[in-house]
Amino acid sequence: MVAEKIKIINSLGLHARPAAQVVKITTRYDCDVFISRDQMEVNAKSIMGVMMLAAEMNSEIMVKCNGPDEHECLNEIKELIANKFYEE
Amino acid sequence: MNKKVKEKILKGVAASPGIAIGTPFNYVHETLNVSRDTVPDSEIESEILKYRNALDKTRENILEDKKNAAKRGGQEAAKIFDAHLLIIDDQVLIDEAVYFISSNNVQASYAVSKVMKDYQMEFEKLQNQYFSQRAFDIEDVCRRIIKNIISDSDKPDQSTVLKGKQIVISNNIFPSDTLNFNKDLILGIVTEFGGKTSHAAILSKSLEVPAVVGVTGISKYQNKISLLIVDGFSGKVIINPNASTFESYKKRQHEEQKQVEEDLKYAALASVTLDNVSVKIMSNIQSALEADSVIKWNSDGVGLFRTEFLFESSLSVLSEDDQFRIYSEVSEKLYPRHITIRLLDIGGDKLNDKMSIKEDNPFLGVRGMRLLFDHPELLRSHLRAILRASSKKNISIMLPFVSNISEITKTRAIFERVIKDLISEGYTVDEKMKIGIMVEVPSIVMIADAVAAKADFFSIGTNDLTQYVLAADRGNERVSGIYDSFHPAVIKMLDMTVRAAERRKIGVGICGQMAGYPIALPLLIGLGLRELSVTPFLVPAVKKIIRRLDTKECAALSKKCLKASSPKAVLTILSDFFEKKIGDHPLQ
Repeated sequence: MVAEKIKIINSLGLHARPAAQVVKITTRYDCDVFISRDQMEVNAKSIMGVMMLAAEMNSEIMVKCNGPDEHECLNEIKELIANKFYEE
Repeated sequence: MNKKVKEKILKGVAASPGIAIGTPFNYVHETLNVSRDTVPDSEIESEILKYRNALDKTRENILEDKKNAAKRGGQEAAKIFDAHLLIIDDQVLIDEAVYFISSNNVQASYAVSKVMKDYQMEFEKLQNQYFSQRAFDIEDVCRRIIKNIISDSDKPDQSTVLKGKQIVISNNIFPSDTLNFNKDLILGIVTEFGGKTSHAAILSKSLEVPAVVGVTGISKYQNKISLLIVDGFSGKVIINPNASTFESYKKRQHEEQKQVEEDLKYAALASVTLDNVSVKIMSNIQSALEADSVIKWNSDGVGLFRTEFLFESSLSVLSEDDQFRIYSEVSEKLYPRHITIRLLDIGGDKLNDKMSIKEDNPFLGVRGMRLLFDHPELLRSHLRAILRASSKKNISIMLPFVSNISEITKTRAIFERVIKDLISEGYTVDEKMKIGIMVEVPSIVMIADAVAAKADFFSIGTNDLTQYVLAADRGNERVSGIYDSFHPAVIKMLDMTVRAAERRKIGVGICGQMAGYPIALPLLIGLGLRELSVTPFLVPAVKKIIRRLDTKECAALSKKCLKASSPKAVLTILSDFFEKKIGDHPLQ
């Protein structure tokens, strides 16, 4: 398993569209992906789940990937968040 | 069967102006019969298939709604359905429901309702308003799926058939509901939940029917109402009015209808004064849907297009492409009329929790341009979308809450870069687009000449200007006696702004509430304002008064007002003038 704490830096946080982009990535990989924030942990292959984190700008989330392609998956998520979901 | 209740007044949020009197139509969302019946193992496969078929059907329904919404010109409404599509295709949700069916031996409808109810409750608990409001979207989608599971027929929901013209009372109005109603029969709307930006509020505004939302307790009375009054001006709902209340509202409603009929006659006439000076009467709008009202009331254009909808009416913050579609839609629909788009003005009274800033004094904090500079990506996508929609050259940009000249020059520099980028990407843009500012912070008025050298036009926002000049929060009832746009200091500020604009030969208009007060119009014309921007339905009423004014007389009047020493003195001067020249009693 690989895990990393990532800071959300886009101004609007994990709203619907960014959440959809996260899910688009996670569902392409075989590994399990969970994201947690504060006490809450959600399945990152669900848009509803990712949105439920209500992760706003500057909040930190913990991304855990577990499976054969866990490294690639985590890297892609990191890149997406670092690039502000390619939206801004 | 109905136990009559005596007259009862409930208070809510005024969401759409006007007065409606009528019988209630209790819009209860059809109770969907979902029970936990045990399903034998042999039928589990068929339950799962039922569920999958219902998903496909619901997806089709939503796509259809989206198409209809887009056709009616509601890009924003269409956006809501996009979000609903995301919910329906959530693979984890689907897997959970399928697993729930097979592991608990239950019907598909029960599984869906159970799984989605859990999500809905989790969302309701969230602090951030944007996220917590998503619970309604989940509920809406969930109901549609269940409906498709338990019935294969396409018959319309009987619960949305109004018996003649009625007032709709409901807990809440879902996006999918609005397409079911026969809109011509809706007299007014009252909801238990929701605020100024709820779907019910947006719908009632676009239908031009009175509405009060967030009326806590209304559902308790739902079956005990024989008649009700919706006062969309004050946000009051009167249940079973007694004879005298009924009469007084009936009278007010009658007067208003007469007014509207008379006003409409003025819609076709030119907006000129007695001495043949033309005055532009523009509209303040806050959604693309209202473009129709601009045309209906024959307004000269849009003086203020609020863009706060970016954050309000749909599931996600609008992307550059979505914004582009909305601006283009309005630009094309209203061409050759002109549209002034105000950049996002969030903060203070608006929804600043979405940007998650906590400030002790938001009205003096990070709002308007200050907030946009803190979020350069947002400002950039905003400007890009507006510029991309500018090929018809009928759009200008207005900067909110400017307090320093440097804010204008900084925006211009960003603007130039955005233009360069867009051109290199092959877009056709209006390179000469005008950039003006809202005049609402006193510092700008004091140095108006220097500001006018950098801005292409001024638009005076009298509501905020008043509160900043008088140091009186416009939302605080305890200082409501101090907050007064007729204070001589405010009028002096208007005068200084107009004089500077004249000297520098730039345009100047007014888009605050003051422009809609009949009694204030002679003063505004007298000060030299020739562009007024008001709520669309007020356009004919304003025009009617303009047509009875003489600019020279108005100029003399404004000189008198400028010398007055108190708001009361100003009001007396204005009332006397109004009574003498316009004849009617001033309505305020």
